[in-house]
Amino acid sequence: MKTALSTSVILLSASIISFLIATVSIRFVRTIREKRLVAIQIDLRRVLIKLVSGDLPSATLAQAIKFKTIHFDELSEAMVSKIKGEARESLVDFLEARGAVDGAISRTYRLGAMKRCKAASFLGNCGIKRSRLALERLLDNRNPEVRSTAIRALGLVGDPRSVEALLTRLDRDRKALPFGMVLVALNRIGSVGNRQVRNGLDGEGEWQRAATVELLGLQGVIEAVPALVEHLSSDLSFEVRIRCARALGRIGSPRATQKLIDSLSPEVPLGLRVVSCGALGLMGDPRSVVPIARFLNENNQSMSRAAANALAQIGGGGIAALKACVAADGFGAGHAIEALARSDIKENAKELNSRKAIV
Amino acid sequence: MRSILSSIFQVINWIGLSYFLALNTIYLILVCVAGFNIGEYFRRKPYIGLDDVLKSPATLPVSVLVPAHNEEAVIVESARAILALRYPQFELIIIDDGSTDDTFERLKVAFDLVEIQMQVPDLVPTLGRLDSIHICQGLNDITVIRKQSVGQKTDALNAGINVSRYPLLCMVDADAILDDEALIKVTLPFVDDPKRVIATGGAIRPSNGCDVVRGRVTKVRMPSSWLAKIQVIEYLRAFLLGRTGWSRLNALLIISGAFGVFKKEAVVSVGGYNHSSIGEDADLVARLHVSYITRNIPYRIVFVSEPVCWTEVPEDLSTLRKQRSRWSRGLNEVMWEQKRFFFNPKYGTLGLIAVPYFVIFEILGPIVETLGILLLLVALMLNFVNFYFAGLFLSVALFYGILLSILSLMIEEVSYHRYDKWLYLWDAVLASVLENFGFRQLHAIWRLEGTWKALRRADRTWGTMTRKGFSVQVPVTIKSSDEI
Repeated sequence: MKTALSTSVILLSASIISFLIATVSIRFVRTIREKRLVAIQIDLRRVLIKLVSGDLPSATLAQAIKFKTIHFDELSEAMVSKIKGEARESLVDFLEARGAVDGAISRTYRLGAMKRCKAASFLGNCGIKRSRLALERLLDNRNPEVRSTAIRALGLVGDPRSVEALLTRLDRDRKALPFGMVLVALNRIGSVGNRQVRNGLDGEGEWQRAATVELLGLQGVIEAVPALVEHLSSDLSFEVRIRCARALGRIGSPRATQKLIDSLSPEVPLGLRVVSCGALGLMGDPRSVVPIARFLNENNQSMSRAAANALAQIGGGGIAALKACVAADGFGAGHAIEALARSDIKENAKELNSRKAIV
Repeated sequence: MRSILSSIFQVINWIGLSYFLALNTIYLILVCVAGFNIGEYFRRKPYIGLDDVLKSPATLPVSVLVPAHNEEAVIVESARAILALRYPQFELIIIDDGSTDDTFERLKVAFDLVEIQMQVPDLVPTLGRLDSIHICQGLNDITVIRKQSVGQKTDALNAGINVSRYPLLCMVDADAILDDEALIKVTLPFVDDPKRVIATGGAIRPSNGCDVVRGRVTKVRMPSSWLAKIQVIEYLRAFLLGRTGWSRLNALLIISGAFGVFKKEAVVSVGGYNHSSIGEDADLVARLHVSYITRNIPYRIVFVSEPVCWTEVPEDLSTLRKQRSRWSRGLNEVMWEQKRFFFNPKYGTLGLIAVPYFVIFEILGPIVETLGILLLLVALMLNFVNFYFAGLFLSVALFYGILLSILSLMIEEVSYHRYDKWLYLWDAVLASVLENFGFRQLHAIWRLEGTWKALRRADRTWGTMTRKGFSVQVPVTIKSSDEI
């Protein structure tokens, strides 16, 4: 018993003391390191600012290209994500001359996941197209952060050839890419990738088609309306159909009005009806007033509310339909009153705001 | 006779010793798992891409629900601070739950509110009558619900759920102070894994002593009172590291009512908050687990350690006692309600590890601890004390406790490093030691009181806490109650 006691007391006390010492040491080292880093970076930052503003004499520039220090690399790599325009271009040229881009591409093979992340992030910030293949390879990496960083980097590089690589990896069972991040990346690539994006509509994967549809809506690709209308009624995935309705609302083409009105029918699943109603409201086509007004008094609260909000958004005839519903005091009168009130307050607030801006 | 008694004491002693050894070892494992998780998080942090989340069309809009009952001191500043959060699209819904002070009037003046008629759907049940609904005449997306109070926060939250328009619900306490990026960080798992994530919770830290400017913590300081300092350590160990550990094991049972985000569809599917539960936050999470496991739908409930919600902790023993007793009672009731979990392999890690841990160590813990103190006194009186054994017991119960607190402090130092002054570090170390002498024993008694109330099914009353408010334009330190 005596031995057990002394052993446990010694062990526990030793652990407490060692953790205490570790905590204090961490604090101590951190304080000293931070101070040292600040001192070093002051001079290096000055050189870099001169470099990006073109004030650095060519002899010093040549010297800076050969100047090897971790701090200088870190600082210049961090700076590339913060500046834009000509300054960024000169910094990227400088980094290319230093071999930093090649170094980063070779670092994408490193064992440490965070090193691969850092390299991918740097390549994305530099936006150099020849790094595309290295970044696409990282989309299959086993580490989720590496994959996310590669997605972001591909978006920043903006090469339309990466669209397919991003879309086809959305539906994998393992290592599937995060949907939201892929959307942002594809949106960044922008209209140059529209042709490749539209190919995604024929894809087998549900999330691939969902992302394609979402993106076409976000970028307002009017040429995609017939295909979206087709998918709205016939796609096997409910998720895709809902996103089709939303996308058509965003694009706002009157060619889609009738199909969206058809999607309001009670045989269609509720979620799709509600979203179609919202899409029609967003489009503001007066032809949809009468079909939407029919659902104002529907027993389902979500549908009735969506109809009231859509009519308020359409304005004119929509507002008249809402007023008629209020006068009739039907089931949806409450939603109609709320929609009218919200619309009036919103308009008033906008007017007040613009007046304030003029003053 | 004496030898029989002595043998009985010995057996009890060994059981008690094994119990504490097991408890602290489990906690040590949890803290280590959490430390590993936090380390990983910090390595990933520069590559998380919050800006992408802000820009992503896949980021779901959020309805932020703030129940308020007599919160005139903080409500306007709290609302302004929430409206200034970084998030692409969200609405703020304040539920004025029968306040008898100027809570509503202050909101009305500050946000130019106007009453509107609204047909509120009955998605989840409510008890108190809805008096009126008001919205802002400006461009702020803020809705204030005035309702009759039935003395339950759950009812206010359910009313807010019915009025909400967005697919994610964020529950925030009226006195909570959120970090600028708290909302975006806590909703990040919904963007990463939109199919499976149904709820996320953020870390809670004590705001006592901190500088608060326009509803944001601008400078983190240690509180001046020792009771609050001890709670800083306790929140760090139990709420930050403990919950991170459980989350890593996919067995998170509690998302704090002060700051949590839920998928509206999931909350509605389980009928919203349960009016009869006093531990409404744990109860909701437990019912979500049951619902998804029973329907065989893959899901995740995630604790995100970085978004911080700052909240005022009690600085007097009486308020603290009421709070802890209420928490303990809530946990007891939830565990009783969800007894089907206990050692049930159908519920995986939750049924085999998390729930048994909560029952054996969190609920029975105070009983064992209090009995241990009593037995020690009896043994001392009867001269049965084996001093070596007592020393061993003490080292397991106290030294191990201190070790866990210091380890938590070390993880905090390596990762978040919120308390940046040397003085705060010494205070924290001292609080880690002091916590084990008096506070822990008192805490056990308070928790026992909660268990007793749960067994008796005593009246359900909410503890009151006086708010000091943070409505300031210049840095002001929230003073401890004994300073005021």
